[in-house]
Amino acid sequence: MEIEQIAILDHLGLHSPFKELDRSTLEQIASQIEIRYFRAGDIILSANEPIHFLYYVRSGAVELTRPTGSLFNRMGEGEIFGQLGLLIQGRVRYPASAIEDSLLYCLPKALFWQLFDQWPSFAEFVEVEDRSRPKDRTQGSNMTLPVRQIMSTELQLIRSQARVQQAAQQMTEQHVSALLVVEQSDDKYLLQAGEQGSLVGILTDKDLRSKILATGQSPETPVADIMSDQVISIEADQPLYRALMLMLEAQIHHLPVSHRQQLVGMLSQSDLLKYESRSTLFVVQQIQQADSLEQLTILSKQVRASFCKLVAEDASAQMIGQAMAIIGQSFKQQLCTLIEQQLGPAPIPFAVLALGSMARQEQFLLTDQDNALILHDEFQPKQHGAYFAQFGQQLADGLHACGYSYCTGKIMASNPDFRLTQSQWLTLFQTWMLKPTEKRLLDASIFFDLNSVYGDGQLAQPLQDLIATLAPQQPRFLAAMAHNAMARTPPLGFFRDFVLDRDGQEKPSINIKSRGTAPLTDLIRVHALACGCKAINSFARLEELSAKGWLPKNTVDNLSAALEFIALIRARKQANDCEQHRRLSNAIIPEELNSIERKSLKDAFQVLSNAQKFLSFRYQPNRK
Amino acid sequence: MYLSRQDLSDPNKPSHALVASHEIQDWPLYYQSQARLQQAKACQQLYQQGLPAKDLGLTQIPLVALDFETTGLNAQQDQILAIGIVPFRMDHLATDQAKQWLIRNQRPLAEENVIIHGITDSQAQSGISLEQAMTELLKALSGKVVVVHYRPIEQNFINAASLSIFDQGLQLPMIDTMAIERRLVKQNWQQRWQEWWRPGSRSLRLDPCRQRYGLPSYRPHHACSDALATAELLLAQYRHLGLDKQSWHSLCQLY
Repeated sequence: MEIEQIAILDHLGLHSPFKELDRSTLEQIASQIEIRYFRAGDIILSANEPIHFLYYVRSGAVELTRPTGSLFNRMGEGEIFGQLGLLIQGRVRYPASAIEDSLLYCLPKALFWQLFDQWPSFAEFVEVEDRSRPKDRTQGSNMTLPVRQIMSTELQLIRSQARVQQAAQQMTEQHVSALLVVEQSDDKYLLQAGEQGSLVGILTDKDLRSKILATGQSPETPVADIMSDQVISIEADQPLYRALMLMLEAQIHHLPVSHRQQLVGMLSQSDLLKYESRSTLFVVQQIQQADSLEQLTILSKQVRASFCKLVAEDASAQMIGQAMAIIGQSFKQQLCTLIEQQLGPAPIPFAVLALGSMARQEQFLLTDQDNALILHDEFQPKQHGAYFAQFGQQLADGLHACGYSYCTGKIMASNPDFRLTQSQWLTLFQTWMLKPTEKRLLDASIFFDLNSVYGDGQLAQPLQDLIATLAPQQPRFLAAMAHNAMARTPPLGFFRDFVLDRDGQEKPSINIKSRGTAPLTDLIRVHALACGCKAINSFARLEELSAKGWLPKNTVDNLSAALEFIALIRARKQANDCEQHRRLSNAIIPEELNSIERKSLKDAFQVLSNAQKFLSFRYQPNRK
Repeated sequence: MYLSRQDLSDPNKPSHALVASHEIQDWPLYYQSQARLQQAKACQQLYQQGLPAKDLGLTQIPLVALDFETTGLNAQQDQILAIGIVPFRMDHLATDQAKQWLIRNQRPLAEENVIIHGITDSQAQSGISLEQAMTELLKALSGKVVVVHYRPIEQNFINAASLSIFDQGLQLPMIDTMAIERRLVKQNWQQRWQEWWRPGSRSLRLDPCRQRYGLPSYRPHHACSDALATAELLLAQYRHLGLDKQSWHSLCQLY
């Protein structure tokens, strides 16, 4: 006999408290379910009415409120609610309403009690009141919560044809600092991208200040004329830290939240502040407000604290790398602003480039200040040379003072070799790619991770385009890059034991950076160059490589997991050094890891080793 | 071809194969005539049972979602592999009445069918005969209005199966969730333009339709899951439209 409700059974079996049950019980549940559908905004349960079901969210999202009306919790796919009402007096404890169109599976009361009596794991799960509540409502911060949990679902909308004055009134009355601008909606598939009623822009109080008040424009101006139409949004199931990074990077304070392309909420920086006390956001905001080098150097002491906090909170290596890069980027941007205030505005357009780990958003502590300047082709050495020499020197000195030490390879804006015009940069990159030698490319690899962080970002675009279009066509260049990427091998011996370095250390150790994260990022870069990827972050590069079919999905998953694990070991080591007030180092002593970590580290190194072998096979000088 | 009232009530007129369901205007009358004309007991009982009373509240009408898994789209050549049904009402959708029948077929299954439906030859052999299944099915459909996603498939296959087994065709009124969706989509010229410009962007297949209402993806090509998926879609369409009975009836082209 075939199972009738296979779709229901499959889904229940993925989530607690059902995944702990045996198959025949799941079959029984699947065949006794009542299914209900609610539109966003519908009331599902009202306070104190009798409750007859345990509710399971199959799709959509549900909001539970306290009888007083304050938010108690939000439940998403695979989560249950109603258990407290069933356990206590059989009446609704927390009123529930749908915040997205939702499909609910309802388990009848009798079935609930049967499971409760027969399965201790089920009873324990539903009896623990706080289990389903987000950990951090009361304590600490948890930036891995989904955006849905804290976003505001009361959307403040305005039509694009409305007048600015109307917008200002609405903002004042509703006590909000941003409105979402929509086209006339037909109210059916509200705000689905590309259709009628779609989100076309966002209007903030800053727009009102800078585009109306400051310029003396009429309050009768249509909203459409002054709104920002480049709307950056985030999916409801993304973690909070992603939202934070997005805001910090784009320097915006409001993020519309979408779910299946429908607008479902709004997240503001002030919402996030409640979840973040002294870490990234706070530090970045302070950096952006600093008005002297002294203040910046004082702030730089907080960078280590932020880093340690992220590690202690079990943040992923990807998240830590991103957060630290944004802090570093903010230092660079604020320094540049201060220097321009002192020297006067630059005589010609220019941009400051971040290279290497900052551009890749994979920065930890203990990092060089790899940077460079790109100047507009109008550059005249006699006329403008002195200005940029001074700019570059002050930037390098300032960064050094803020803890980003001088680059040993002299890749800094203070070095005239790396203050080039756009054409000179293009020529340099062409030389690297068209006339490659392994030696020439040895120091050049970090230039292929580049990102503009200050000034005229458009100047860097042709460089990025050149790399993406030219590199894939140059087998000799790729072969040389691949050769260099294999120079540093993982420290694994023939019998899969660790090969340890003795140089300079008291105990034999492994340099987790030079033999782990660095060769891995090198290897990923070669694939990314060959494939013409636009992404710069290694994890994002891997995703793009998989999406474009350049590497098989399981290879990408393995590499991604290996990079995450090795980088996390490195982050923990640095945090540990910080807390013990030791000199920061990348030297890992295997004995100090536990047996599971040692085994996982070996597995990760094995992935790296295999991937390196494939690299030499894949990129040969004469092969297309 | 349009059949008049006289044609329908003429007891000497053969009914099978002549009538395509969309040509029938007066379903209660058609049921009355078929109750007299049909020879096979299963069919006769279905028509004798009649349709739900017209004065029932919209949420009280007994419905049944139906899905056939078949080896192809041609009812004359292809076989039915499985039949899934989910009886429900607009105010009550539960899984306890859901049923699925696997059909034992004479011909071995082509490989692509095994892949698409996940039904292997040995499973199919454990099923019941088409005759048994049709008898059971007609019993389950009696007194209810059938709900399908894309009416021609189920209509043609049920008609062909009835012809081959009972020697008489079988027509039923059906609510078609795809037709409802198409009418919603059609209301808007920009969306029509978009569909023309970029076909598929407004796909009317079951899963894309469901996505527009925030419904999850179910495993496709499983008769009972597809029937359940169709029932859920109708519920969602109804909740989103918030129509009164009259306009709902006209939208569904109900009997």
